[in-house]
Amino acid sequence: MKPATATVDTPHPRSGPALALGGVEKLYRTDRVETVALSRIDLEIRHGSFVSVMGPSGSGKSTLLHILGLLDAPTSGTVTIGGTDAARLNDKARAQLRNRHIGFVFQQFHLVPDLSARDNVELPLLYRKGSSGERRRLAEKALERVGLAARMDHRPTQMSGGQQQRVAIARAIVGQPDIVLADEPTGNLDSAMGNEIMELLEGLNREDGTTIVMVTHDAALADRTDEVVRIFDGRRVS
Amino acid sequence: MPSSLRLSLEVLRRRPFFTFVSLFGIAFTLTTLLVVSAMLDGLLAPRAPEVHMDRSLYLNRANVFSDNNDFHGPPGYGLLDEYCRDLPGVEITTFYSNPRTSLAFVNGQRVETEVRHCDAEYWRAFRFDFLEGRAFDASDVEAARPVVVIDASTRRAFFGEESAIGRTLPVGDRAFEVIGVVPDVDPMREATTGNAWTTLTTHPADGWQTQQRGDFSACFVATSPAAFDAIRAELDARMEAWEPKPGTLFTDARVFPQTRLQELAQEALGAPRGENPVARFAGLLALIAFVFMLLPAVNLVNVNMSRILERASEIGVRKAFGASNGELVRQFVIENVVLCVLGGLISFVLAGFVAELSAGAGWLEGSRLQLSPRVFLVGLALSVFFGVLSGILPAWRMARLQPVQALRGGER
Repeated sequence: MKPATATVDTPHPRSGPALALGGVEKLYRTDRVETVALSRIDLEIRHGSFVSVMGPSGSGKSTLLHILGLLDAPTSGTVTIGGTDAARLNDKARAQLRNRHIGFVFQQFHLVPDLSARDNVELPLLYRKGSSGERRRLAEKALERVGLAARMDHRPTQMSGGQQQRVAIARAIVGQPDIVLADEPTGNLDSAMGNEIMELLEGLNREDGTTIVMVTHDAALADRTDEVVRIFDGRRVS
Repeated sequence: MPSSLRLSLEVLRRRPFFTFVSLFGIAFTLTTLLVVSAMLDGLLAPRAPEVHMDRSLYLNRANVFSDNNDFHGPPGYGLLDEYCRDLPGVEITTFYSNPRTSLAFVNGQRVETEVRHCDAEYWRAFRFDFLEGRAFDASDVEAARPVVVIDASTRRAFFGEESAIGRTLPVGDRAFEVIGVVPDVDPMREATTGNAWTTLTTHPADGWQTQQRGDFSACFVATSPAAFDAIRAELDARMEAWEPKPGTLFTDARVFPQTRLQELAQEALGAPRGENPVARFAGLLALIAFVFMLLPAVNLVNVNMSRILERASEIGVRKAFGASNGELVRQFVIENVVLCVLGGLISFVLAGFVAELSAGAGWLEGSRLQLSPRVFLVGLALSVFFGVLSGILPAWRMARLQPVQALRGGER
């Protein structure tokens, strides 16, 4: 059955959880081997909370984050975002939901090398209605917020790792999403820079009420969040 | 500038080697197609002097049958005069002889002049820009005046840079008075190519007036192409009523008025007279063009696959931040179309060089390749088609990846 198109323009209801997984499984199959990446994961994340996901390498925590952000599809189970069952959405509606409600920060930054910092930050706004002037204004505001007002015209290759990650955060928040999903955002940075990034995320959670889910290896950073979800061998252990 | 266009140009600028290789392939293919289009345009587009070509039927061939032989060739004036005048839907009817070579020696140099004998309507059916003097008229034809219109090359050969009006030109064993000079005519223009045009009634052949087979042609300028069917039907009906002439062996005759495109198709395909091979010819041309474009397109698809794979992470990011599959396909197709349109513009410049070269080297025997706006539009359309053809498959394959697969570099 073709998934129905659900409208995602309406604000998410704040009553239920911001994100929920119900019995999510993720299997990777090749001709000979079946690998279980996630096994029967149930999870609810409240609006406005700051949750960290911890676990050893290969435990499935990034896969969990990708499924939460509709970047990957579970093999079975349900993914609910702001009360909307993701399985009901077609490609266009999923894209729209990501655009309106979710911002991503990646360990590898994933900035587009051909674009300036400003153009990278504008990228999520390209998939919404709005004038180029408005896009530019919002992108500059987001870059100012992460302390990069002086670097707007720089290309990613002209910036340090910390600066690139701040551009990536500006890109994640430029569309004012309800949820930011960060996949080891400090993993490629030194501790001082990592701390700066963490402070930015904390400020976002505290001042804007943005729900943040962050995958991390760093117990000290996890201790600063409201809740820690632990994953081991694809299972939730706390 | 729209962001997709800006990004496309930026992407091309940042990958100069890929851009060069792709542009080279596209430009080479399109240059060839443009030169071919220019040649077809040269043959088929209404252009002076054959300004009415799009609404003209040409009668260059007739079948005249006898008990022992079938003659297939140019009709004689007698056949045209008796059966092909006053056709319905025809605005101008002109009969003219095919060019016949007249030799002369000027200052010890051998000069060949291609001479036609025409009626006065010839100058209405075809529009020549006179460099000097005038055309002959009906009274000149009626009186069989030995007057001639020559082209610029003939004027130069016989009279240097001086005015030729009033001077004498030898044609065969007669002397003709030059009354007009016109620019040289493109040899690809079959009804008007020649060096000298003189009055029909000075035709040197015995009994040319009554010949059924001969060296004549006719052009019927119709009120519109819609009248072609009626003209053909009327000619068929008249030929059904063809009567054997006393003193000749001929038993029957048929004529085949055709558009220039039909003639070209007929010659290219060797189709029998009376058939209409235009659709087959157009289909064949389209097939050749398609196959010719397909090979570089397949190559470009491969190049695009690796180019897009390089940008898998960008695709992942765009998906993560809200790009739908449709939007991504559009972006990549736009990039490819931009590339191909650039290739198209380069090929237009290259085709211009080829045209200049061919004119300089005389590859087309004096004919000039002209890159008209029509040819430019053909080139543009080919570029866009090429861009879409070679861009859509890789773009679609890439857009279908899950965002996380794209972020990992395209692995499935």
